[in-house]
Amino acid sequence: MSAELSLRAVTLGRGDLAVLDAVELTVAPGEVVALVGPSGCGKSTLLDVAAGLCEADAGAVLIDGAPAPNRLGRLALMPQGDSLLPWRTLLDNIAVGARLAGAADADALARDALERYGLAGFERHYPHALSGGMRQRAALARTVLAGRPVWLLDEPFGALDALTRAELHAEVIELWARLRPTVLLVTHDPEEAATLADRVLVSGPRPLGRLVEVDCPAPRPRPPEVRARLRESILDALRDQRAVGRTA
Amino acid sequence: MRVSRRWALPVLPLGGLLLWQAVIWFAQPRDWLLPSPGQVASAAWEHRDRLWFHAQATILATLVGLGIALVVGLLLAAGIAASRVLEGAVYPWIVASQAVPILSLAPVMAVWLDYTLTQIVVAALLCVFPIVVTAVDGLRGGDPALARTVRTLGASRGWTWWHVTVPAALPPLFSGLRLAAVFAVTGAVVAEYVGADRGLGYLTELATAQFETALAMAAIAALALIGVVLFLAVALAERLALPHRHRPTRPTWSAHT
Repeated sequence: MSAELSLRAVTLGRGDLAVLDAVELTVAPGEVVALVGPSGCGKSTLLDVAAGLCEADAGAVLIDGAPAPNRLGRLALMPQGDSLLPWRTLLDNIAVGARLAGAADADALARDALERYGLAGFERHYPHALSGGMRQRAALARTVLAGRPVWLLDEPFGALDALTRAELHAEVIELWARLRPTVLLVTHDPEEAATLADRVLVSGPRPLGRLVEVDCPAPRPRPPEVRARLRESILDALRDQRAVGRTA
Repeated sequence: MRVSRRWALPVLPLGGLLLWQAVIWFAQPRDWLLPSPGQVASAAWEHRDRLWFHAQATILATLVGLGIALVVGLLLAAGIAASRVLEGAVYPWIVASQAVPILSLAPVMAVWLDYTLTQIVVAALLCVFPIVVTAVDGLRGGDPALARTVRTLGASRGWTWWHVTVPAALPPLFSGLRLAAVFAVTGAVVAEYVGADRGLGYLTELATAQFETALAMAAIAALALIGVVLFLAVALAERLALPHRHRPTRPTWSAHT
């Protein structure tokens, strides 16, 4: 389940404010691309446009090279926070993914997923009764069962403590290696980008326009010292981009 | 703290009864001016069949009025929340209509409608407002991230409305319903004052006119009881409909969605 996602000269303004300025971006099938930028630089808006939740003023979003005007529902978004439905149990929340994918045996699939993601025994729990890590795992399981070829991640692990985040990073790397979805991840955390991404793009402050690619030395999973060096390169690139933004 | 809270509940009513009885002891008013708590209780027991006969009429008007207000209010709220045009055309007038003291409409209603219908309409008019306002706020106020996420997972607009927007609207709606339940009793009773041949409000008026003050106060106590029971019924419905607000896991009696 993979597809190529490309953004061609995507431009969007909100009133007088330019938010996206001719963004060019391609994620190859099965590739994980991280877009790192400061808070408020327009990253989330970019994901909204990619997902089809809002339309760009100009430019195009292509899936497998073809324009995709009705793409809403084909690219799974994982926003900040878990976005589980508070009135549904963990099992019913995960089953939503399978049901939306048209599975007849959504409950059985959700039960399997519950086991696989280490949530067995919590099927009747409501999200509020569980830890942030468990909720995020359930949201991942829901996204997997929805079976969309492209994932759009908006700082999904931002609210977790360091240890839980590291655990989830390891799990998600393993998961992506198995399922090979096309992933566009936006984050303000260079460490997260260095850990999760095949390729890293860095943006300056708003508007989100020219993206600078950071040279990524080794394939994932990267050894700690390589990761540390990559994180430094990302930070350098962020500094450069901010300086460019100031002079522009 | 738990123990002290439980003990705190009956303090006010007991204190009130004691004060009332003290007034009887010291001022010794005539029975028709202020009967004692005991006299009210014995009047209630003595006239229990009559009270029940009249209570039935008031309960019927209250429940039918509340039911109509619920259906009309939810339809209005769904329309207002879905359409900016409808919101602009209707919502301001619903708010402005609250400037009309609805109880003052009762005599006019009684000119057009029969007694029972007047009661039902006044009750419904009183409680439609809290239902509309809380339902509109609820339908608008959910976390947008939830709806957006399930849309990207392939949910249709209809699925998203029913499974995300509506459940998110229920907690505020239930707050409105609790108010509406109490308002409905008030509406039904006031309409009885305008013209009725049956009902606890009618009985109160009749008994007062005949200097049977103890019976009138028994009827008022019955009205209060109806209001409290309705309020508690809504609170119970809320607990059944929204188990996640009160417990960590889904109870066995809850429907599987």
